[in-house]
Amino acid sequence: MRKVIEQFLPIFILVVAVLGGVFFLWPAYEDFSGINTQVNIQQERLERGQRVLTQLVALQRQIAERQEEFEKLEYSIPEDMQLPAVYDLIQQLAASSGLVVETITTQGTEVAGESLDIVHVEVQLVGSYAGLKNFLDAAKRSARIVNVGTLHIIAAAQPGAQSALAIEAEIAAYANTDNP
Amino acid sequence: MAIELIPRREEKPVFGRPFFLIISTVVFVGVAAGVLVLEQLASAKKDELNSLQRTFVQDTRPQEEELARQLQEYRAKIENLRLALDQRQDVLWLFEFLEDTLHPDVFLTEFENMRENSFVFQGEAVNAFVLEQQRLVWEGQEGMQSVELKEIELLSSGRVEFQVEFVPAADFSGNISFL
Repeated sequence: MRKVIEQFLPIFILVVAVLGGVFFLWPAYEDFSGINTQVNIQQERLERGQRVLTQLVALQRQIAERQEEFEKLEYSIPEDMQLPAVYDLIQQLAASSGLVVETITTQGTEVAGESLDIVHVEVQLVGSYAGLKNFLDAAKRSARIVNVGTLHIIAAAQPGAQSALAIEAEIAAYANTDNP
Repeated sequence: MAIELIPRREEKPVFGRPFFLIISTVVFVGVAAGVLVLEQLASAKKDELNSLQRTFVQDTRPQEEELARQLQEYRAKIENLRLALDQRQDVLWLFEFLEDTLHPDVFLTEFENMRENSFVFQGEAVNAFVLEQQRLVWEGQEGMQSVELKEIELLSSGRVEFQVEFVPAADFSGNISFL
């Protein structure tokens, strides 16, 4: 009996070891290998995230350096349309150019691109040719963007005489919408 | 002591058997140790993975999202500025062009720019000869894609009413600067 045990014990141990290798060691290795792969992926993701973050921080720093320009940008197209302020701006531009505003009426609104609100107003003005040129120039230079679109100009007096002009202008003003 | 007639062959100790036993035991211990080590390593890696995920979710991601949101807002504002400036039409250059080229006996009475890149004037010339001179002057100017006289009407007084449409060349109205 002892002889038999002596003879078969090494085989038994080897068989148990092989079975242990197949059923415990290999799954444990696969488990470890899988987690290791996940760790590597996560590390790479984190490094990529850190790189993106560094780039974003650099961009934010560049924006901070150009804060003055961005403040101008925010004034040129404000967050809110502020329609009475648009009317007031047009009136001021006209008055400073030597034109008289007769009426200002809102024609309609539209959205351009992803988040640009546009309001179209029709303005009726009276004044001289020089005043009209001043008005167009002042509108172009206005800190808040207003674009003079269609223009309809009629000379009120006879040809050749220094005449007052009746001007109909369609002017667009802009605002950034809340949901870009 | 009994003497065997045929003596048994003395059993020599087999060298391979204990060796085989040692090898088997070593393999067994190796497997068991391997399992334990791998489990420990896997457990340590799990902790590392959890820590990395926590860092990513709690630290990096929110900062990245916040910064990306801010930059996205700026990008949208710049894009809106570009859209607004693209809609800008400049007609001052046209008035300056006409100041330089308008015949003294030609009068423009009405203007409209209803179509993009097209400027239409109603006008009056003292006679047809003056209008022809004016046409020749306008046609010789650089920067105009076309200058077209339309609806020409001779009045009983000899004066001529007309309509003229200017279509400038694409790069004539100049650049618009802002900021």
